[in-house]
Amino acid sequence: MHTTEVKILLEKYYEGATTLPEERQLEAYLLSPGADPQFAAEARLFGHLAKAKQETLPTAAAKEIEQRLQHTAPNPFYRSRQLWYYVGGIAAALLIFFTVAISFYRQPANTHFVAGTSYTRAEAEAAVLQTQQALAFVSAKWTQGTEPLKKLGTLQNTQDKMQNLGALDRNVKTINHSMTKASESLDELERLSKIKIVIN
Amino acid sequence: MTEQAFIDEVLPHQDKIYRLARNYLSDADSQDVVQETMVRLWQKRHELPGYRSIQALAIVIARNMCLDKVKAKSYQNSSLNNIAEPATMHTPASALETKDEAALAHSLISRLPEQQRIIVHLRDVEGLEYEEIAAVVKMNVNTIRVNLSRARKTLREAIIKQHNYAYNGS
Repeated sequence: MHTTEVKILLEKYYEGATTLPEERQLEAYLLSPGADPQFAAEARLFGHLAKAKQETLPTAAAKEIEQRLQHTAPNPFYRSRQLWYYVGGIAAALLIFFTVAISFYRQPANTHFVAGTSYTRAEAEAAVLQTQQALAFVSAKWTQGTEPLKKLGTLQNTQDKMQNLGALDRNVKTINHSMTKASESLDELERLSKIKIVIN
Repeated sequence: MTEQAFIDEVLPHQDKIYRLARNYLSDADSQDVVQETMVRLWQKRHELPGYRSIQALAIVIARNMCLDKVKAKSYQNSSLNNIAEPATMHTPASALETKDEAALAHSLISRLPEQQRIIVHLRDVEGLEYEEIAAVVKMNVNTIRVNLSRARKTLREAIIKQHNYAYNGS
């Protein structure tokens, strides 16, 4: 590997940006006899880490673990934990179902809910009857109340007619005025014709 | 999970757990942590198929045990002494060398802050992908990268200091 390439890889390595294959490539180079001495610190670091990778649990300890496991039974709590999750889930669902069902069926028979208040059927029917009566009363009063309004309509018609008569009257006056003017004009014309005769 | 499946799928993780524990505890205590982790997994082996990653579960259990032990025994002050403990006379020479080198790595890593310690161990010793590390430390990948970067730079600085010290001392 070229020195420049090693430097670039090491820079990436110290920035935590190298991939595992790149790190293996660096390790192979730095632990090789041909590694550039300028990378001595890195070679030493990779050397320590390489030795740490090779470390294994002592055989005696591994055997001891195997023997201990043979004499250790699985913890019953761990074994049944998943079962308890299922049972607990089903129990919770049933509890919710029965709570809702009981609260629903514990209401008195023929009870209806209206805006958070409960009524018996008889009370509800009485309320409907009273409402109908009240609406009928209001309707009757409404009908009575609109009768005078019809007379008001007739008055309006009369007023309209009177207004029409007024307009007619104004027209007649205008005609009369025009007739008077025309008569005056004729008189003047007659007078002028008499003067002309005298002159002749 | 059957006994055979446990042997095939869970027991192979004991070396990883041991290496992880060595960053926190002495050799003997690390072996205890491996044993306790395996027993705990064994006891809940019927639940294990429900887990997305048994490896992540094993590492989390072991790490928590290590932290509990460190807290209980106040390992913080004496961890380096325990980690650098000498190998026994009965250990073969090559294993002794490996153990010493590995102990040095653990010694360096153990000086890092806890989050950086586990991240650098899982990446640089165990070779886990960032997503696998995220499953253990419950962090997003970017945060893991930042911690890893800091940890690696700290390790490099420590190595350089150690190297200079060795030269001056000789």
